[in-house]
Amino acid sequence: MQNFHRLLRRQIKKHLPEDFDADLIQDFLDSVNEAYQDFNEDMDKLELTLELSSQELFRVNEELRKNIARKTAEAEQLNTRIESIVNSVQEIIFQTDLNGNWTYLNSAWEEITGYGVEESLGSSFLSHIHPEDRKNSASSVLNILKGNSESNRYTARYITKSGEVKWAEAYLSLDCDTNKAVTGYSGTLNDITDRFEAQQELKKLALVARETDNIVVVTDVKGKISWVNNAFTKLTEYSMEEVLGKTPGSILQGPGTDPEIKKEMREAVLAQKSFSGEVYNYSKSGQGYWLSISISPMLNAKNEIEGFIAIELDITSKKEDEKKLEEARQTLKFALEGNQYGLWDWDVEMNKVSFSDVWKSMLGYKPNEIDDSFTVWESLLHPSDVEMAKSTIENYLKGKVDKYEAEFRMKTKNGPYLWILANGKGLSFMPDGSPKRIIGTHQDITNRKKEERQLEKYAVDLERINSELDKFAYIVSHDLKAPLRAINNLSEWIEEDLVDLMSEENKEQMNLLRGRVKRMENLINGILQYSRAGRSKSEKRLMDSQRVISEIIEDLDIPQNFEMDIDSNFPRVFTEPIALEQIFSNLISNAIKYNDNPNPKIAVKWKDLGPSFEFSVFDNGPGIDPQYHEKVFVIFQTLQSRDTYESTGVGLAIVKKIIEDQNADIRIESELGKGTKFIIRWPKD
Amino acid sequence: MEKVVTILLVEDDEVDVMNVKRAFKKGNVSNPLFVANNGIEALEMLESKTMGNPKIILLDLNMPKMGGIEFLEVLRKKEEFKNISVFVMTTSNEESDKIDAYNLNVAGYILKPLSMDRFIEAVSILNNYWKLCEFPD
Repeated sequence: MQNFHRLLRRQIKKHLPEDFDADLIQDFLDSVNEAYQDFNEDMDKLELTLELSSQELFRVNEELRKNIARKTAEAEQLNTRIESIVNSVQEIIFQTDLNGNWTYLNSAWEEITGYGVEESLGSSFLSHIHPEDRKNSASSVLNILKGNSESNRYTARYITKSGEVKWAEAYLSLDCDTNKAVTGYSGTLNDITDRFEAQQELKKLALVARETDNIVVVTDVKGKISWVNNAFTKLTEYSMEEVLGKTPGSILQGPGTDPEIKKEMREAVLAQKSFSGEVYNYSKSGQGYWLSISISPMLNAKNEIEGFIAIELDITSKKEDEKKLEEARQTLKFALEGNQYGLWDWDVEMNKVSFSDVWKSMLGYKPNEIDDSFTVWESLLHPSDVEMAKSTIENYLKGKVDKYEAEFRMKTKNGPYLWILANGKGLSFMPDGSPKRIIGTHQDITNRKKEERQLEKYAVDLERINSELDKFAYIVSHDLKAPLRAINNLSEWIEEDLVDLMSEENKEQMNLLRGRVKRMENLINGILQYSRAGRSKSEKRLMDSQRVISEIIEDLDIPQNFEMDIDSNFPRVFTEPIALEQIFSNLISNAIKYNDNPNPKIAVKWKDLGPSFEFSVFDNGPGIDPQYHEKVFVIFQTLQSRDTYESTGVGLAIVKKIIEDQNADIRIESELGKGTKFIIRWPKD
Repeated sequence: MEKVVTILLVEDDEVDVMNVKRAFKKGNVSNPLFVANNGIEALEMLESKTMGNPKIILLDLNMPKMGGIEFLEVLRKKEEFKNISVFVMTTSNEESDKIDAYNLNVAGYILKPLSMDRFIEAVSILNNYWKLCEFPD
């Protein structure tokens, strides 16, 4: 029993009585025990297996945990790496929700737009687009949404935080969830401002090169044409296709092309150097033309020659103009020098002056005796004229006057000074309008100057003589009149004091004495009036001759028996106030005073002769013998004895003097016994 | 009693002086009359007060040493004389003389007439005028 399995022993102990004889069921017990033994064995085996499985499970579990940790680390690493890649790209990477509000932006956003990522998230992408480009941007997004295109690329301007307008290229695609529902957009924005501007610039340059009036030819290193512009085709009549691969010289040069220039150009190209000069070439149809040409090598980034570019300008007309100008200059020079004009030619830009032979000979120099220079001219100027002469030139150079003109004195070789009249005008001009080259003349005006000075002297003398005459007249009036008055007074006193002692004859003599004194005074007054006549200093103005004549007639106290025939509507004339009055009052009062006709008649008439007015004063008095028609206008000439008519003979002299002073004229139509007509012609202006 | 004002005649021509005296007599002008032969003499006489304070001056223009216009210029600058009534009596019919004289505040500008009768007439008119005028003492 001792050998039984402990579980069997526990069963026996539990279920069998203590006094039970086990031998009775020995076999049974043995087989149960054997079963127990087998079971125990199996259990042990199972346990072992379990033990082993458990250990395996633990190991696998451990491995799994480690794996997870590694994978997580790996994922994190990847994430950081992606993040850093995303943030290190220069393009903006973005995501928006369906409404176009930013949900993700990388750091390039900050760099490119200046806005912070945090502050921008949530705002609409459209708010950053240039107002003019918003519509286009919105429709691009709509296109994607409608499925018209899956992704879209377009350019738009956007505005940075600092307000700058920049160009961006946007690449846009839809974001979808697993159910293929659209959740938003993502894409990139690329700042292409520099590229865009460079492209624009290039486009512009290309346009300029193509369309400029300058001819542009591009060749390879060997001088074979690789490109020409429109101006080339226009001038040479060759299309680009016709000339590609050929050397310009082989097509364009001809018999008139200067071999020297050809050689120079060839050598420059061979030596890969620049060249510039003027060349005579031919078009396809054989038309010759002048080119101003400038060739430069084109270098690439490595400083190697890639070819040549030639910029050329058609200067044919300029060349022809130059030739014509030179011819004209020669003609002018010939004409001017033939008339003793000295010529000078001043290239202001180059500060080069040239003087013609006559210019020099005028001053007594042979052509080679003085240099052609500005300083020579300056050194020959009269010291007092230097400043004026130079400032006159300055004024012309600065454009203050449109022509150079000066008078100055210049020293001749022999010493004396000549008066020179210098004239000049710009022949060509700088871009700012100031003269580049001035040509002009010198004229010897010494004689004219002398005459001018003489004239000035005459004018001064005349002024002086006039003022002396005024003084003289004044002295005459006072100093000659004073004694006359004394004589007059004294004679009256004598007569008074000797009233009882004087005979009638004596008294008559006294009267005659005083009569002569009175006449003398009238003559003196006449001289004064005459000397003043026509020297009026008052302003000329439009005078109403109608009023002047009416007033004179009123003042003259005309006797009742006179028949007056006075025109009406006398015109207005431009003159000094006093002139008209003196003329008409003298003529009309004469007509009354000398009229001996029993039926005296006076007529004052006028008519319009176009450029002038004609006035006439007629009387039917005794008339004037034609032989005296001139004489009546001479001062102190009277046709009657002064004892018959107390007259000074000054009136008509004054009239004539005034009329001549007004550029008018007066004549007489009269014969003895037929009355007298004074006719005045008065110019309107 | 009627106040009689003193008159100063500034005149270089002896006949003209006689002329005035004679005209005074004929016109019954009895005012005391003093005569100076030119401007300088007249100023001296005025300054020395030998003739009291004349209220009226009859002034010729053309005189030696100091002429009438020159005399007027000096006179008008002196406080005590600037109110004296001055009548110019001259042969000068010059416009400039008339303008100068009136600019110096003369009471009248009379051209010396040739005839005695007209002069006497002129003097009597002046006399009547003086008699009418009140002068300050």
